[in-house]
Amino acid sequence: MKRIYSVILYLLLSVMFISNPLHCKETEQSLQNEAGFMTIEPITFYFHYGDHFSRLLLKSSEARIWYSFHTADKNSLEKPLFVFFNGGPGSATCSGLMSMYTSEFTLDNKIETGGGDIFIPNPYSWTQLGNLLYIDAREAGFSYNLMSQDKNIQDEGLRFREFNAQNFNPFFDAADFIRVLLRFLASHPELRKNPVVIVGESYGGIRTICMHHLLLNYTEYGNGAQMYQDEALVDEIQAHFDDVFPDYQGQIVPPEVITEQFGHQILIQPAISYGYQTQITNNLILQPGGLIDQLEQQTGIPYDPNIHEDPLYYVRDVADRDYYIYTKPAGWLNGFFSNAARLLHYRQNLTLMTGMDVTAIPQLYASARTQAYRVIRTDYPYNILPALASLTPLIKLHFIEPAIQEANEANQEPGDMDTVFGILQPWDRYYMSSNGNANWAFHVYNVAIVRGYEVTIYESLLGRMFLQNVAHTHTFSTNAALDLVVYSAAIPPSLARHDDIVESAQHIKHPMNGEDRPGYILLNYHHSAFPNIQNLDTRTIRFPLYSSSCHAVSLTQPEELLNDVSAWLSEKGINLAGKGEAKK
Amino acid sequence: MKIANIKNKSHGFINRLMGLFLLLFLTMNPRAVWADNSNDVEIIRRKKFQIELYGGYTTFNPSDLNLFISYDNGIQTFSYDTYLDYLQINNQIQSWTKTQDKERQMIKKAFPFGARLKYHLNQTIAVSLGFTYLTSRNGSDIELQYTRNELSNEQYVEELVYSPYLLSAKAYVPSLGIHIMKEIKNTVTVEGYLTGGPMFIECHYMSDWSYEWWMQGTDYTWLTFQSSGTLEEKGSGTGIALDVGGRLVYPLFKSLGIFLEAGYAYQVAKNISGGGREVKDDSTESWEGRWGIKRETISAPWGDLVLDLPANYWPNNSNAEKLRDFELDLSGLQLRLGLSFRF
Repeated sequence: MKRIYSVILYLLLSVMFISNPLHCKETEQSLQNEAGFMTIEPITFYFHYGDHFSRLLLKSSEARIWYSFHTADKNSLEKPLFVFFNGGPGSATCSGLMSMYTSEFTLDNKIETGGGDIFIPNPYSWTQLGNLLYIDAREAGFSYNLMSQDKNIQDEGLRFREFNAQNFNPFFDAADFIRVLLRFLASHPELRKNPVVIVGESYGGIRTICMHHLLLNYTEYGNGAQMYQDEALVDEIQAHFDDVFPDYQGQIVPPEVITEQFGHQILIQPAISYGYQTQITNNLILQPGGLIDQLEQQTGIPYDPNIHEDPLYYVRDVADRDYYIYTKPAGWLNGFFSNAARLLHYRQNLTLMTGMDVTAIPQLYASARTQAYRVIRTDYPYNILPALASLTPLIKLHFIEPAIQEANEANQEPGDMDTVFGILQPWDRYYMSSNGNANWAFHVYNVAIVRGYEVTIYESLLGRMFLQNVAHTHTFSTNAALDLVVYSAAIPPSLARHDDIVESAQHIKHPMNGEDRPGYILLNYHHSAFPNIQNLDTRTIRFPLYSSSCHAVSLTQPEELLNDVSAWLSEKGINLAGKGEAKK
Repeated sequence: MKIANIKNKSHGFINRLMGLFLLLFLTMNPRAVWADNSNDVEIIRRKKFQIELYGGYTTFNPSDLNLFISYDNGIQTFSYDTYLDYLQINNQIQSWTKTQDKERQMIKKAFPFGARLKYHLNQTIAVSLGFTYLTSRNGSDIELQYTRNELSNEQYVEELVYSPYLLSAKAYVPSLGIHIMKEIKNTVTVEGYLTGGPMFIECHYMSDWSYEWWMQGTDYTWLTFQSSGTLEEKGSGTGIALDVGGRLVYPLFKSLGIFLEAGYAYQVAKNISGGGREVKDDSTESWEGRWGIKRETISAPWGDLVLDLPANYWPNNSNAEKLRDFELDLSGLQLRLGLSFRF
C-alpha cells in the first residue's frame, strides 16, 4: 500500500516539478542536475608536532563520496555554488539539509498535522540563489568506503580497524570535502571560477572551519607548519588555484585572493569552539531562572547532576523535550531525519530529490561494491558499551545514542533498493542517515586521539582556526532560540574565551541596518593576533535570531533563513541575480 | 637475538686470539730464539721488509652518531611518559604503567684489525704502508608496553617493538707510517710510530618497528590499530686518520715477532652522505642526502621539546633546522696485538 502511495506521489510530484515555473530550469543553460559518486583514492597523510620520523603516518581507504548537484533556477552559470553538508560527524546531508527546505523538494515541516513524511515542492529552495552541491560524508548517507582488494572484507576485525583515524578525523574529513568540491569544479569548467559558499550545519561548523583553513592556508598543510600534513591535497588545491587565479600561476596564492572564490561561509547552529560552547551552555541553562529551572517548575522534578549525567538528559528523559528544540516533545527533529532517510530508500524518491534517474549511477549497484563496507558488525553495532563510559555525556547523548539507534534501524533497510540495485553484502548499506561506527571512529577508536593529536571536537585549536578564517571570510551564523545542542547564546562568549586572539566578542542584538531579524557578533581582535594578517581590528559575523527555530533552522524557519542569506550575500558582494536578472 | 649472537661470537673469537697472543708473549723466552746467535741477528737485520698482522680494541664516543639513541629515547619519553603524565594530572586517565625490555645501546667500542707492510730504511727507521678495518655495531630488540587505565576502567595497551634496533659504524683506513725503533739488549724492540691516511667510513641506523593499540575490558580485547615499518639511514664518506703510539716487539722465532702496541687514533670523517628509506605499512619513501645534525622543535599540548638528531633526510616540508654537518668521530685509545714477519 505504501509503495503504491509512493508511486502515485512520485508521479504527481514529477508532474508538478515539470509544470511548476519555480522549478522549471531555463533551457539555455548547459548545466543539469546530477548525482553520483566521486571516488577518492587512498590518501597518505600524517599528523605531527614537529618530530618527523615519529609522526603518525596514515593511509586512508578508497571512498566513493556521494554528491547531488542542483542547478540554479536561472542563470546558473553566473551563480555561486553553495556546498551543503550536515554534521554528526557521520551524519548524512541527503536526509538533512537536502531534505529540509533547501533544495527543490523538501519534507513538509508540519509534522504535527500529518506532514513530515512526504517530499513536497519547496517554495524556499536555495536554487533561487544559486547552484547547490550536497555532499554526504565518508560512510554517511549514500557514501561508502572500499576495503583494498588484498584484504578480506568478511573479516570483522579488519572492518573494525577501518573505522579509525586514517579515515575519520576532522582534518581528513574536511580534505575529503575539498577534494570532492575541487574535482566537481574541475569536471564542470563552466562553474570552476564561480564563488563558492560553504553551508555547514552542526558538526558541519567544524568541517567548515577545517575546509576554510585548509584552503586559505593551504601551503602550511604541506610544508610542515600545521599539525595535519596532506601533500596530495596541497597539490590539488594549487592546481585549482593555477586555473582560477592565473596571475598566481605556480605561486602561493594569498588568502585575500583565495577569498575571491572561497570567501563566504554560512553556519547553521554550528559547533565552532565546542569545548567552550558546552561549558558555557551548561552554565547558562543551569543558572537560576535558566531553562532547567523553568523545566523543573513545569515537571516538579528537580534536576540532580548525580542522576542525570548532563542537563540535556534531564531535558529529554524527565521533561520529555527535544534537546534540538525544547518546546517540542523528545525525538521531534530526529523524526524528520528518520523519515527522510526512509523515503530516500525508494528509487523514485531519490530520483525526485536528485533530479536525475538514479538507476544510471553504476556505483549504486551491488555488483559494483563487492569490497564496500558500512558497518563493523552485521547484526548489531559494535559493542561500545565499555567505551561509552569514557565519553562525555554530551557526546553520548548527541552523537552516540542516535547513531546506535540509526545503526539498528539500518539493519533492516526499508525501500526498494534491494530490488532495483541488488542485495548488498551484510556489512554494506545503501543509506545510513547517521553512521554510528563512523561517529565512534571520530570520538573513540581513533589512534590520533590516543597519540595526543588535537583532533577531538573539543579542541580550542578549532576556535583559533575559526577566528583566523573569519579575519578573511564573510561569516553568517544562525541564532536559533530553541536549540540546546548548539546553544546559540553560548557562541559569542565561547569566542571571547580565545582572549589571546580577541579582546572581546560582543553579541549585538539590535538592528544595525533595519533587518527583520537582527543580530551580529562583533569581534575585536588583538592587532597582532595573527602575524600574517595586517591591520586586523574588528570583524562582524551576521548572527540573526530565529525565535522559533530548532537545530535545523532551514526546517523550522525556511523562508526567513532564505531571505536573510539572500540579503546578506548580496550585501557581501555575491551576485545572486545574474545578468539581466533583477536583484531580489 | 640473532644479532647479539653474531656480536658475541665475533667478540669471543677476537678475545681468544688476543689471549693466545698474550700467552705466547708472556711465556716465550726471546733469548732462546734470537740472541744466542749473533749471526742470526745480523741476517735478520739485513732483511728490509716486514709484514705485520694485528687486531685490537678501541674505545670511543661517536657522539653525533649516538644522537640517534638520545633522540629516540627523548621522543619516546615525550610522546608516552610525559604525555601520559599530562593526561593523568588533568584527570583524563586514572593511571598508567610502563614495562620495557632492554634499552637502546650507544656505540662505544670497536675492534680494529689490519695489516702493515714495513720497509726498514736502517736499524732505527722504517716506513710502512698499512690498512686497518674497524667495525662497531650495536643491535638490540626492544619491547615496550604502555598501559593506561581509562576513566571507564578500560585499559588501553600500546605495544611498541623495535626488532632490530641497530646502530653501526665501519672505517677503512689505508695509511702511510713512519716508525722509529730501538733494540734493547738485542731482544725487545721499542718502537714509536706515526701513521696517517684517509679514512673511508660507513654508518648505518636501522629500526624495524611495530606498534599495536589494544583496548581491553573485563571480557574483551580488541586490536584497534596496528602499524609497522622500517626506518633506515645509511652514510658513507671520507675523513682523516692519524695514529700515534708506541709498541714493544718480542721475537718469537728468527723472523717472527709478536708485538703489543698502544696509541691514540684520531679518526674523524665529516663529509658523509647516503641513502635512506622509510617503510610504513605499504608506503615506502627513499631518499639520498648529506648527513647533518638536525634540530627539531616539538610543540605539543603537553609541552615543548628541542632535540638534535643526525639525519640525511631534508624534506621541503620540514620545519627542522640544520645545525651543522654530521661528524663521525671514531677517535680513541687503541690497544693492538699482532705478529710481525721479517723477510
